[in-house]
Amino acid sequence: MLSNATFFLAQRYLRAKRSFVSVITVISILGVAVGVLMMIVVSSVMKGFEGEFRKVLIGSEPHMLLHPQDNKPASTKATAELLAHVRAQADVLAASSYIRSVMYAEREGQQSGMDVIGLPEDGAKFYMAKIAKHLLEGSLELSPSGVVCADYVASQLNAHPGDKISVYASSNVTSAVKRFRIATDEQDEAKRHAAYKDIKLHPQELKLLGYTRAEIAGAYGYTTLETAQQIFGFGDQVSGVLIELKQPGEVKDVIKRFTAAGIIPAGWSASLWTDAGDARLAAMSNERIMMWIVLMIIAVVAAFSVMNTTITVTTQKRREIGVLTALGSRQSQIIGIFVAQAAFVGTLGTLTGLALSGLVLWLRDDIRMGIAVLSGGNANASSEMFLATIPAQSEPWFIAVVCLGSITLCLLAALPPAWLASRVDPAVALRD
Amino acid sequence: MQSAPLFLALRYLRPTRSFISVITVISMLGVMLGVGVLVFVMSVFSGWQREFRQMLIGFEPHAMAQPMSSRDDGNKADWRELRKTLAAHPEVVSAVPVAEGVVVVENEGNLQGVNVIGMADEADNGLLQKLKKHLKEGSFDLKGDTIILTDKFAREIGAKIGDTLVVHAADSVNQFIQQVREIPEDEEEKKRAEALDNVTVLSKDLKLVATLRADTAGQRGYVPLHVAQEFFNLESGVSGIELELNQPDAAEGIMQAIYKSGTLPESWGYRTWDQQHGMMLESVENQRTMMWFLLLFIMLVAAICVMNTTITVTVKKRREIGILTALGTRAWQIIAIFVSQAGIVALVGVAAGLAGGFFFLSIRNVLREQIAGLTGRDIFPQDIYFLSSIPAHTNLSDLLFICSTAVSLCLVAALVPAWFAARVDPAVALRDGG
Repeated sequence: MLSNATFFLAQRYLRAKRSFVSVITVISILGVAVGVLMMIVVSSVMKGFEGEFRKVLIGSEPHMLLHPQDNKPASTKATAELLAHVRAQADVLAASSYIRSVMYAEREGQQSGMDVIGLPEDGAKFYMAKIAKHLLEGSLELSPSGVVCADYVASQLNAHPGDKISVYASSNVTSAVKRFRIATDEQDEAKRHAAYKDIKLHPQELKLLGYTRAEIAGAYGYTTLETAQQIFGFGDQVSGVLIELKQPGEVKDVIKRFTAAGIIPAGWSASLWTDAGDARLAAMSNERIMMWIVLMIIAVVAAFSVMNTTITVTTQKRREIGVLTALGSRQSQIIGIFVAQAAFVGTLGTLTGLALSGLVLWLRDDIRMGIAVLSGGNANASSEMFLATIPAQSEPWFIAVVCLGSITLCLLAALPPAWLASRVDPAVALRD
Repeated sequence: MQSAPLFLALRYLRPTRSFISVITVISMLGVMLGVGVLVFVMSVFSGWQREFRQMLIGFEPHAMAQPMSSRDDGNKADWRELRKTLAAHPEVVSAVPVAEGVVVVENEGNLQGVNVIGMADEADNGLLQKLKKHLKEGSFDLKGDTIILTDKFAREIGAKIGDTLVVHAADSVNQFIQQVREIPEDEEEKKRAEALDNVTVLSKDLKLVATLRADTAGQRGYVPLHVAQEFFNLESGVSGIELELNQPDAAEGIMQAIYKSGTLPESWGYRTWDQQHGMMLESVENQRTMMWFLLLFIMLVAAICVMNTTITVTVKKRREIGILTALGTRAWQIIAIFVSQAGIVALVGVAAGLAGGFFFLSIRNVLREQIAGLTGRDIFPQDIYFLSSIPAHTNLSDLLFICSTAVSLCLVAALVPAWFAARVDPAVALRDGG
């Protein structure tokens, strides 16, 4: 079996004799392993950061908001129709009407402001479940005249669950300030005092129900739809329709499908969760690809090392190649010997790199801790914090590409010297 | 005999009928790639870091001497004196009295808060001169009742150049809300009116005279000093003295020296521009360190390649080494042959790498356009990196570090096989034949 002869010889040339050849093989394997290790570890960690960022956005922003373009309140009837349409779509996990606006909050002289989302009972049920993990204190059960806010708002107000806070719509404050300014310009006392009558804040007493970690749950406050309608003077109107998707990652495709199906009424527009971090996400994936290209150079240099090894082996085995050719081995078989040898180096190096990268990724937090301790930094990062642990996300197709790419590079590197070796004239090789 | 190692090293590098010279060239290529990538990436990183610092220095007050507690009435009188002393300091380019705080800008029913610095429109106002570079529209005029905002902020509240905006002091708006709250609604009308008569909302009509580019000039707004003094209840006092420095990079050291010299009154402290943006500067620096670490692996693999070559050469030249040793060559000379060979490989690789790195640096923006044209994605989006073209700045110390690391890694890599080769017993080497 001549085909087995190819592998037999490839194997024999790899094995240690008294020469250094086996050492250079081991060193080549090391080079390939380092390349694979770096590519997988760095890409996985960068992908992990990207994924973490997406997860925070998806977990804190409404996936999709449909609202009139001019941000004016929408009538209940139009909203109800739209809701029925939207709920029938396969992509939609849940949908409800919502109100979104800005309000000021005040408690015992402390003031703060926040973006508020008002949700009806059915909406609250699914939306609050989404941020439930990030609740710090209190509860997320929205009840009339209750509000859930972000942790920093609660601390600005020095409020705890159960405390009463008074809130105003921001437009209310604006108009009061404006009226007051105009009134104070009035010199005539009677007129001025008459003008004062119009200056009213319409504070609402709300009970703080709970607060969330703004870092991962976003800075929104939440109330029931009715409460929001009262605060912002919406009557029975709403801002629009809030939609949660089954596949939030595909929100851009979904909005295209919605537009194509004519679901979005004329004069309405959509806000997507990606609006909040689109540029940042694009830059992150950009940086990841750049980094990958740079690290691929390690694999290229490792392939150089493999090429060097193959050249050395072919030079060393010149006489043997001559004998083989004289005995009738075909050119393809000679090439096969050396390419098989390189394939062995490439595969073993890739597998070693793969195993090492798995180990490094598995121990990544311990490694970071070790570095932090060695460099005298703070090793006691709170495990509750965002990115307290290094995220990592490995995609099977990416690992496959890296492994196959690395092996292919090795084979390509071995091919030219193997081809040159196979062209040796047996007479010349044997005479030398 | 002194130059014998070098002579032999050069001979072994030269092509004979074997492939040895090819593997030498390949090792050089490895070193070249390592050095080239390091030079390119680190230059771009340094350039970006530099531009970023430059950008911050370009709009942020370099240093601010200010009272430690916000209500420090005792020093109101002597800030003029202090300003003179500070301005006379050799490192200080200009010293400007400023009043800092938050105002609320109203336009068409929108209320929006913004940080402002109040300062006088004087010819020797360094901060003002520096900010003029970021002017987008309008003219820089801080004489009358005027305000300068960033283009982003102006867009958000829907204001245009020439519009008159109503600006309130943020504190007084808060106090107003407080007052209105405390007066119960059902109280007698007269009482309520009287109470409201005692409330003042500090507001002024300010004309928007100019907008600054938000992407290079930060978020702040600027108003004339007298307006700010009125807003922030300072009367004729200031909230601090803003300093422009000769060497903003050394702001911390300079301010430390000024602080220690006792120039500042008691209970005054300072802040510098890099303290204000410490987190961001640190994260850029961290990324740079990370990049160094990752790219050094390329060098490591290149050194492995050099080691391979040296091993091959020592095996090939086993007989010669035997003869040399038999003729009385000392071990360190044998080692020197192979180490200097690796040294030559490293030096040529470094030189080629430097050339390649600088070549790609010089065409970096062309490359970016090509890539954008081919793949349709901009690899350096302006809204993330603030800059329209890829920056680059090569530090001499970085270059030296790259080159010396490359050379020393190669030398160390060659040392191991060379040392083994030097230990060859001449009798064994000669007997084995080759």
